Amino acid sequence: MAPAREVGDSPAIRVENLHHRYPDGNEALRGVDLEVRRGERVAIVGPNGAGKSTLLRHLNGLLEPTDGRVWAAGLEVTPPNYVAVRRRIGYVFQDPNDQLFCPSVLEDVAFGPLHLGLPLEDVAGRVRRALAAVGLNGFEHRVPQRLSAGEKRLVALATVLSYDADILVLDEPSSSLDPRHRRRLIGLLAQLAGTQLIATHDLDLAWECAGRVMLLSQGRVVAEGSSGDVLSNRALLEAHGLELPLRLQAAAD
Amino acid sequence: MHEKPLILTAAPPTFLERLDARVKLLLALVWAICIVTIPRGRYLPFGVYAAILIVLLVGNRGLAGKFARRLLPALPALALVCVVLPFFSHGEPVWRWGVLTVTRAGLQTAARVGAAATLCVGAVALVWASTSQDALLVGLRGLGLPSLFVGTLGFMLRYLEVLRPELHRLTDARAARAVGQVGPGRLRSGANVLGALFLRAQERAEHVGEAMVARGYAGRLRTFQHSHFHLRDVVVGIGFPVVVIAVRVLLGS
Repeated sequence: MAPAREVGDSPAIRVENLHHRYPDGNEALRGVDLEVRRGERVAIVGPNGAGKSTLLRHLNGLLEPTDGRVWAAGLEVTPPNYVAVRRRIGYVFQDPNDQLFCPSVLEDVAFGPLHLGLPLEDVAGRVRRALAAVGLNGFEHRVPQRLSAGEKRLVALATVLSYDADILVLDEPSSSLDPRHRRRLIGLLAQLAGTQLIATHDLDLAWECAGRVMLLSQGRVVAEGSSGDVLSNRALLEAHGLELPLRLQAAAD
Repeated sequence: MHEKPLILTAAPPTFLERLDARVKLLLALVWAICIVTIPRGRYLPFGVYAAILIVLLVGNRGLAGKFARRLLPALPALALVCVVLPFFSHGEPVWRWGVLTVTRAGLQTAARVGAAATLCVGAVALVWASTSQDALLVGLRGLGLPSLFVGTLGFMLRYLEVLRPELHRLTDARAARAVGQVGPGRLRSGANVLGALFLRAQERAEHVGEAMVARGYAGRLRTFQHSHFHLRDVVVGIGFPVVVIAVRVLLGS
């Protein structure tokens, strides 16, 4: 399980009665409530189509609620606050190919600091520090599209580390990673300070990275609690299309 | 703390690459105007301009490969113009075959148009080969082109880079399933690839747009590239047009 961390009292993220209906009529979220305290690491688990990515997209205003309210880093996520909210939230997308669109790693990592209004003279240092944090020193001039899946994932993480976001939001961070890169990613997430919200159906990753777990199914929160409580509940997980984490399966067998 | 400035790429190895993009774009414009205004019956200026282009290429040998890659796709169109034009001009026939007649005026027009088009396309290929995408966009913006136009061009270039691997994946998938396919079947599967690429391009553009917005993009792309005129830009910016216009005036009037 994830080691205990110092957690503040004030909420980093607060979601109240969030509903989202897509234009095709699909109701992806049906009244979600969520609170994540500063410094806390929370995993949102659930099967495909549970609404995990939709929920994350509301946190920095990529989607607007059909109903309900969202606060992040003390600001309500509404159009006038979008820039300030995005400055505080580092969103790592599910597919790194969506996140890496510049001709070089350097430009991709610098994109956030350049567009969030951070001082131009600091950008160089931010890029170097972010790449060093993910262990990719010297990758500045590599072409992102030609990196391996694991390297792309790490660069995608560096693109948000470069602007020191208070809250890291990661959508399926371990998808398409080989075991070596997955292990490296888990180690990195453990080292990073700040609040983390991780949407995943990799329950082993949730077990290792999060202190608290929220189970989302068909747009509703169906369970919430410590990762030990939720992730060891075989009946609950199987009722919602999930399985015990492999490490617990081995223990149970 | 002020950091060292970022070096986007290794120092450009050729003189043309080091020139400011605005200077190169303006020189290409002067070059094109001088060439297309050469009067009928004057061929010496074309020879001198071709010699200048060859000198530029020899002096910047490092660009030869990139220049060839950018020029080659245009050559079939240039060749087609040269082959077709002799048949569509009135005048003294020099060769007949059935209803087809090649006239002396047609041959002269083909030679003139072919030479002018080749020299203009060659200059564009040279500017393109010697200028990075970002520098080109900054140069166009610096010349006062509408930011909407420059922004659209920037997106087009970025998406081309993102879509290239997508096209490779689709053609690989087709090759794996269409072994030995010839004729209409091959055409049909090629059309399917283009259709699928269009749909994926739309989806990818949406995701990339979200990734940009999440990192602060609000309608204006910012880059590290900032244009500064150097002595070489001033010298070439004044000297080269003088030579080009002198050739046009002295040999082409």
